[in-house]
Amino acid sequence: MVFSSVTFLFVFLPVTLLLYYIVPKRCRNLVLLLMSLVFYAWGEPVYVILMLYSILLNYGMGRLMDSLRHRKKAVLVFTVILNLFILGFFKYYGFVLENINALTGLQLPVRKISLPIGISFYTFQALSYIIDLYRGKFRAQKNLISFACYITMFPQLIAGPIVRYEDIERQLSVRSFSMERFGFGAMRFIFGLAKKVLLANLIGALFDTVHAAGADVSVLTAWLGALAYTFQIYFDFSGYSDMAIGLGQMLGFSFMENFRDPYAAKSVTDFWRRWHISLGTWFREYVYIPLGGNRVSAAKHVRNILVVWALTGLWHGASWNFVIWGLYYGLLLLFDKYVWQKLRVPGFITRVLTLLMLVIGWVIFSADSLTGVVTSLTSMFGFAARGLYDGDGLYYLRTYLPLLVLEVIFCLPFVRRVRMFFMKNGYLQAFLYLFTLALLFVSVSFLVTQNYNPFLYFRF
Amino acid sequence: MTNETERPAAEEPVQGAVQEKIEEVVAIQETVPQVTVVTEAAPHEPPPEDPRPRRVPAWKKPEYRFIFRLTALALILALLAVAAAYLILPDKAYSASEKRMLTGPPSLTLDSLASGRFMDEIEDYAADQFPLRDFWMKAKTTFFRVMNMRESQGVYLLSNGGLAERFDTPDEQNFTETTDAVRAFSERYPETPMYFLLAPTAVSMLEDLLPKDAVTESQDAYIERLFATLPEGIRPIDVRAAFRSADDPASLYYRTDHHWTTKGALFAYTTAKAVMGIDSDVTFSGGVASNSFRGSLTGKSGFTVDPPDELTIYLPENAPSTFLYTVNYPDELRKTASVYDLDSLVSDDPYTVFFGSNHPLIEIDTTADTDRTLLVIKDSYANSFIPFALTEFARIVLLDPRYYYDDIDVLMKAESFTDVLFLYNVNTLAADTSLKVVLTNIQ
Repeated sequence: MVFSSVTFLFVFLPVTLLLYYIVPKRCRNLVLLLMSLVFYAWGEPVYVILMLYSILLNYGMGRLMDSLRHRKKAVLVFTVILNLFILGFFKYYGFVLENINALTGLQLPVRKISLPIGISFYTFQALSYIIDLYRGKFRAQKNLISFACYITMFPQLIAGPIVRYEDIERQLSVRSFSMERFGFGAMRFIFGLAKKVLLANLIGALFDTVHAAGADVSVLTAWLGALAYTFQIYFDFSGYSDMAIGLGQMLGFSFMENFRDPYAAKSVTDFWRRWHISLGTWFREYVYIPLGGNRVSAAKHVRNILVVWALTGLWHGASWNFVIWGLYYGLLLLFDKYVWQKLRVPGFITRVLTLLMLVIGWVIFSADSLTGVVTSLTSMFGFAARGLYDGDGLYYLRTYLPLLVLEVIFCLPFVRRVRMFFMKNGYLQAFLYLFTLALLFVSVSFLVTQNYNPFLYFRF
Repeated sequence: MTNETERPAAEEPVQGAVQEKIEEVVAIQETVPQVTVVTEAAPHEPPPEDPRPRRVPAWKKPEYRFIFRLTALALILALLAVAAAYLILPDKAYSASEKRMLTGPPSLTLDSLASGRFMDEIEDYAADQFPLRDFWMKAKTTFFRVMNMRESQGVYLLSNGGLAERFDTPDEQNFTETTDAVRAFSERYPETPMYFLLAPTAVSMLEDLLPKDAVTESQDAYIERLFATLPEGIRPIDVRAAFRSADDPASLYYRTDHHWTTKGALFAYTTAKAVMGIDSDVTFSGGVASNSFRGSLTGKSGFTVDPPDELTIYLPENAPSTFLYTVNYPDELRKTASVYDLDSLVSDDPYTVFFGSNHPLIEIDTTADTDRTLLVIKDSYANSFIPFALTEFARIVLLDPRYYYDDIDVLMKAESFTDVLFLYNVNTLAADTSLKVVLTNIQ
């Protein structure tokens, strides 16, 4: 089930909230667990079993590790390998076999395994638990329901943020509820819903049109397509994170922020402090720093960065596109650290170049294949089949101009400052309130009649 | 489960207190910034209470109390209102504005649950039975118009509020194969005069009403290319000049549907008469048969159009009083004395008032005082066109290649028609792959 659907909003959510708040506080984790299983089973009835297996594995190994004085490391290694094996099998099996076939000329039969939704997210959550438990950051969770609740919690089950156990341990046992907190979460949820339904889906239609045209585009059209995807992926994903965080607050949880105005980044390095923060944090904590981080020789640091970014790319999907996309960022980050920062280029120029690099990054990310990447990039940089601009490009520009302006505005950090300004003043608060309701209203009108509601982060 | 859930560190006597006590402690700690950073907890000690510094959460600030409470209230009321409406309002079977059946409650079986089909059906059901669905659709159309976004699913919103379907780039190979088949067919029957009426659609005839620079292939170019391929035995019937010079070209197409209006068909018939050498003084007068016609394009695009279209039926004013005809539908073994199926006027597709719906073959025999007989190879545009021609032919056979699976040469030899008319609209012909199959059908 996705948040931006009538079924979630008007059937699942009211039932869940009603049950959650009428039962005594001590039963709320159980309600949350059961409803999360329903939520997951909605899209993946069979894979619920896989998720339950993952829960039992990590819960049991956690308890075992806690009871041992020695050999904790063996338990850790075993559990991590098992987790990675599950993820690897369901996500990368086909990819690996195809590549083996291509390299060796073998004809190993490749069976298509449908990807269990959210497996990349919940596996990483489970890994954060078992690794930090080994590091002694906390004691093992003895309550199976609380632990299962952590793994399955429906607000962040499908598309993050990747909540580390460390951050949420206390909230699993004690959390505060209030109407104000619920309203705070509701507002966040509505903003996220509007981002997804209005900003992401509408501009996504432009990307799809350009994407379908393939190489038969002008330079103008190619750029419009690339920009459309740049906006779509941000509003899609950050909207989903907003909804997750908002729902969390409505249920009494505080999740970490996942996005902080990424397109206002001062550099590529800065961008990755602002984009999908929970994933970046995860890789830093559990891969980059254990490898030695940047406190090693330059050569090792380069290796560390490239390893982390190849893995980050691969995490996004089993395809070479994503690996190249990850390495692209790895190289950019190294270039930024070892070359660019020493040149003392004016900040303005760095910002503009950063945005350019991001758009190119999304072209790599969004293409179906490596040839698709080449086609799009050559079209963008002057070698388009239809010249500099054509009637189609002008039409798309004209049609989508108001929307593009809106998308740009809502990427800027000053929007938050405007919102705070409105929050501070009693009268302006009323406007903000009405605006929130209007967003809910328009978003619902789109959900009811939606014929276009893709969900980009379902693949991960 | 519960004891451990609520009391994280039961060993600690202080925290073994009642639930509410803990919450108070937490509440205080959430407001007090802490700076101690504990990275490693010693074994067998309770976990540190939130080690990071923390600001006062927004929901605890008194100045925000109202707006957050009101937001909570608004969302809860909205959720409850819709949930209640689902329960109270009866299910609707049909959406008139979208022209489609709405999904009913799915049946729950173990099989449909395990496969996920039940969930898909629930999603459709919930979306289709959403309270005040038409109202929400209108809200969305308004939003699109305000944003100046006038295209959805290949359908353009015209500046007069009507809809027009885009003409997509035709497939080259299919064009060649189709025109080759037409030419070969004509050459098999050199004695039979043939005609080709290729009707433009609203997207080119009403191009002034399209959004500026709207992306659509040129129907003019397509029509001219097709006419250029026709052999001598087939005379083109070009209605574009007549349509463009009409007082109100917009009235020649439905605003909600991809067909031409009956008036558009009459304009086309007037042009066709001259080319086909029909010398007739029969005149027609129209009357509105339905004023609630919502055509295929509203459903396809999701744009609402208000008010709905009128559907007009034209009857001959001065046909001979002895003129009679019968319509035979061989596929249904049914005969009627009218080309009109009046029951269709209240159905989901009033356009089917002409001949009911699409049939592979329709045979019309008339008492017209002539030897001319006509074979029409056609799409649905012909359905509103043919009623005008009834008085001019002794027998008219309508053949729809999309549904016709018999041998056309057998039909040609058995009937020996005096005239053959191809009648298509550009959008259908460009996408059609059945005409070439039927014309070259050698069994």
